[in-house]
Amino acid sequence: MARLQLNKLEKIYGGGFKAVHGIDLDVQDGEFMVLVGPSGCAKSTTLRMIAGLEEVTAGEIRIGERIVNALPPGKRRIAMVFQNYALYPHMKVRSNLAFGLRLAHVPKAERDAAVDEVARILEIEPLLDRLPKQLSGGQAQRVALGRALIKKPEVFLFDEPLSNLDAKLRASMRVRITQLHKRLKAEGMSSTVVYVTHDQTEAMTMGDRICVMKDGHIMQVATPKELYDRPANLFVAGFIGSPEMNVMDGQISDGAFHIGTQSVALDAGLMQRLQSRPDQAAFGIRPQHLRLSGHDGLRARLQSVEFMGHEVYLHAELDGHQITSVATAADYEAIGTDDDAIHLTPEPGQGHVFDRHNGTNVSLPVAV
Amino acid sequence: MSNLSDISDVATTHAAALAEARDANNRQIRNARLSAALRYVILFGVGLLMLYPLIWLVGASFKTNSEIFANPGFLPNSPTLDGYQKGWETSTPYTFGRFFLNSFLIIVPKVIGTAISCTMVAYAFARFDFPFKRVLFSSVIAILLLPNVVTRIPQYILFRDLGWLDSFLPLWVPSAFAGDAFFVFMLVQFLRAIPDDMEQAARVDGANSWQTLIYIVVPMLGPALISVCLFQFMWTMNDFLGPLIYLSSVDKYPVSLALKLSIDTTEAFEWNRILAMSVLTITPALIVFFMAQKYFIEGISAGGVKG
Ligand SMILES: Nc1ncnc2c1ncn2[C@@H]1O[C@H](COP(=O)(O)OP(=O)(O)OP(=O)(O)O)[C@@H](O)[C@H]1O
Ligand SMILES: [Mg+2]
Repeated sequence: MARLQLNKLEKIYGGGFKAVHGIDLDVQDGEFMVLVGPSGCAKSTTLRMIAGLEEVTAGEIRIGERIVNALPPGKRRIAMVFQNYALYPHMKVRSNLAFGLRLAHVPKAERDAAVDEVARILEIEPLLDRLPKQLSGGQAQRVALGRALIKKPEVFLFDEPLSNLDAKLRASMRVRITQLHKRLKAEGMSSTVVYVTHDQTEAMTMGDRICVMKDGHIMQVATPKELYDRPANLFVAGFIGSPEMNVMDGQISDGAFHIGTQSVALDAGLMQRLQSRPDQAAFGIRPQHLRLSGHDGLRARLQSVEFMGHEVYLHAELDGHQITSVATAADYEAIGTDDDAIHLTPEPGQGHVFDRHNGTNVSLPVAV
Repeated sequence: MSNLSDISDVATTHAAALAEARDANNRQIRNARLSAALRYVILFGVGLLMLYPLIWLVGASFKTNSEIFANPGFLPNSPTLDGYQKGWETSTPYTFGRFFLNSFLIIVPKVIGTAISCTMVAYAFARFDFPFKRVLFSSVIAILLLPNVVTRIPQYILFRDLGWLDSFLPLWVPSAFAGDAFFVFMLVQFLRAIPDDMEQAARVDGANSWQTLIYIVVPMLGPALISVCLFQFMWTMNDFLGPLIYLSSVDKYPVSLALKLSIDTTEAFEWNRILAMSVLTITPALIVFFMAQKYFIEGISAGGVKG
């Protein structure tokens, strides 16, 4: 069984550019770990180091008990699914699937049986005798998935496997991959996954845990719910959740957060949790937790309204900050606006206080 | 009443417009046909002009020696195979078949050696990082630009000192070590246009560099490799200077030298024999070219991969 550990993993590219800054990550056996972050944050670099396609500058990679730094990709017992499928263009689907087994000198009968089984699981039996160029994007991606599956690897690596598919197909593939993972796990097979994406919906729906990266550093590793409810810093707070969390600068005094001339009362629980009182602080609240209210609460100037069906996104300006509130269409109808001005009340218990200097969330509960 | 005449007015204008439109359409079609015809006539004329020497050559090879100078047209008056029969015999103890055999003895190892060595060198340049790569690749380009004659004399001295004169070795060996910079360059350019994802996938699948090269890279290089082989085939077939410098005994002569031989030895040239043998000489190249044409064109249009 395979646990994957990265210890002080570092990558400096040829030109002297430091892409990965000594990261530590511990992926449990059978865990679905998603690496997420903006473009250029070194997700792919990290994944490729795990795969053995990129040399490790410093630190170690462990799969199970083995340190695999010096092993070639083929010996690491990993399989990888690439963004653009990377099927061998001159081989039929069947040979594409069997290529790894053929190199490993698996007897033909066994190979054929394995191909048939994988084809059945992924429903690509009718495609086995086609060439990759005769496949649609979704079919090609299933074949690529099959090529990984057939090797029964200890760790599956995915690099943005769905980003070339259209939205609908992406959604169905998302479900398919998650179900496949559950199934492997239930059957007691190795099913540790590292899945790279820049799409937070994919991250939130697929991951057991999510590792948020930025500029070659890990910002936070946690379950989707934890990331959403208790972001460790401003970056994670802004990256996870849609629309983005509202962040307003100000100061804390007398149990309240002062934004310009207005203030928000901070609930007792939050005050108690505060680890420090930063002089330059930021108050964060998700748009879903910023309620549209009649007359009291923060006054903001409404700038635009987006109808999203049964919800309404209200974009407003508050003391120089762009903020968003999500209200139900019914509420918006009922309360309406008062000459461009709207009143917004943060839901108690949902606010966060960040230190502006280093971005850390100083209002997190003490780790349990 | 007025209403009715209005309607008929509309009807007539409608019919007129329709007829006019049909006329315009027909005119357009006629013009298009005309310009197409013109285009084909011009293309055919120019093509004929360029091919005429070749057509004349084939025709003249069936004429008698005297008719060649008497009859400027390309159709022989009384076709004869005399040129082919006598030409094949040659004025040497060997038949032309011997010279063909020699040519193929030179070409086959050379083409194989070129394909293998140039693929390996190009793969290294395109996919691996190694010390002095830039300098080495620049020198490949430099060799590409160097006129051939510059290296003739040092090469001759080298092969003489190795005792390889009057053997096929000086013709084979440079190619077996990727001596043809042009092919290396061509393959490198082709490889650079192919994304390396497939090769990475192969490495993850457990292939080492050699297996990746053989199972993945070579099949993808296919069209380019066919072009390389074709070029090398034709150039070697036509190569005159190389065999002239290194081969001295007639029994090792390839066809290019043998043709010249028949001009040298006879006092009054038997032109019909020379022409007949010239026709035979260009035939293999033509056959190979037409067989491989499809791949050839794919191979030289760089970046031969589609998404
Ligand atoms: N071969 C290379 N040489 C030098 N720098 C590189 C190389 N490959 C990547 N980088 C740099 O390393 C950083 C991380 O790149 P990486 O491809 O890992 O990002 P990523 O998180 O996968 O981004 P994306 O979401 O766009 O795929 C980037 O700043 C990139 O410019
Ligand atoms: Mg990437």
